[in-house]
Amino acid sequence: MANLSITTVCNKKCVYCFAYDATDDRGKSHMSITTYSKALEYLERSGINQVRLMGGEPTLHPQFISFLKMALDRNFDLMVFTNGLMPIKVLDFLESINHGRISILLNMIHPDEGNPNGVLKQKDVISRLGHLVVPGINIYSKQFDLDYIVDYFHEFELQKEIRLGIAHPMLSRNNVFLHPKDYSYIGEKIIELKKKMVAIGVNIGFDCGFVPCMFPIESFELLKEELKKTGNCCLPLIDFLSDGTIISCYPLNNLLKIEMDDQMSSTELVKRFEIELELFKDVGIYPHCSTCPLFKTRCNGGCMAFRIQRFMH
Amino acid sequence: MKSNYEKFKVPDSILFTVELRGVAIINKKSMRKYVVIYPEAALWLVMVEGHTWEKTVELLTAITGKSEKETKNWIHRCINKWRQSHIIE
Repeated sequence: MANLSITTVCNKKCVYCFAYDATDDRGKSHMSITTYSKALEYLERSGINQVRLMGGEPTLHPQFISFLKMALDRNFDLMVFTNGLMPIKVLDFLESINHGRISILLNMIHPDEGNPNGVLKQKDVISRLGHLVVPGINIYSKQFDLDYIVDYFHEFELQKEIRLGIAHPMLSRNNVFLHPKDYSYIGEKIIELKKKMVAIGVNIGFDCGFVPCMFPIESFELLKEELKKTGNCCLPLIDFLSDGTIISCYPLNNLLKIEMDDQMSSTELVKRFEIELELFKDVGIYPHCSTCPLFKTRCNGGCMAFRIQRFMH
Repeated sequence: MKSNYEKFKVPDSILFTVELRGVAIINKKSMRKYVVIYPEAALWLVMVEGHTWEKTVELLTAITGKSEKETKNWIHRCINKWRQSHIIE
């Protein structure tokens, strides 16, 4: 898996944003077509058949439509991570191609976020692209409400899937994130959501950083499918930034940046990031992780950024 | 013993975190990892807090249940061991 952050420009200011260093107003930039081509070549070389477009807000890239066409012409599947506040021409294009190889991961704007226009815009996007849309929710506080999403599935024809993410700390700045001490509280809310999703036939997918111990053991059967991946996905990812550098994930972006190389494959890149992260692998997000029977078997200890943040001099 | 204690310094390349099992220490320079288990971990934490020799001996005597003399010898041995491992200077 690899993500292509094609622009640093964003039209939202999410408090939890962990791509902030890639969307810093001081250095707005768009990925060039040459860099994008090289990134696609990398994906082909590495046997990766999905292009995951991120930002910033990727649809604000002036050549976004060309980028989509290039990827489709080269037989890639596409996933676009968007806040939905996209230019009309992009929305029209996405609606017109109606392509089975494109998914839209829509980062939902919460109705209580104080952005009613954003909510309306998202509903417009969903009404036109609903069959392509997977709603995504980034949980960044203990008080986070998840229930509002159920209404969307009643109101619109969405893909039968929802992606839940945890907001993680960035090593390079102080963003808002969900502290691991609140994970079990959120775990209870997710169980309630899961029951509602089961009733309407919607699957839940967990993004990185979820750990099994945030859920009570009695819920493991209900969350059987979700837990298969939980706790083991904090492996080095490959994120291409708009300037052509490569990082292992946004929260760790100041730890190691590698210049794109015409020959490099995902195996080599992952190995380089793994060497860098090896020092921190024996601790988890909690002081008791290293004595937990699930550690390094069913759980790798949670978000690496938080694990690194635990270390002090 | 007191001067051995007072001269110690944690190198910039050393990072540590408190774990249930003790203190996990990494050396970014040598890329090596260490785990200091209790009661040595308690000594580590008292030392990095910057307590005086007298206060450290008092605290560790209470923690370990050893005599003051035994505690001083034990602290001395721990410091020497950690110096040899390059986790303190």
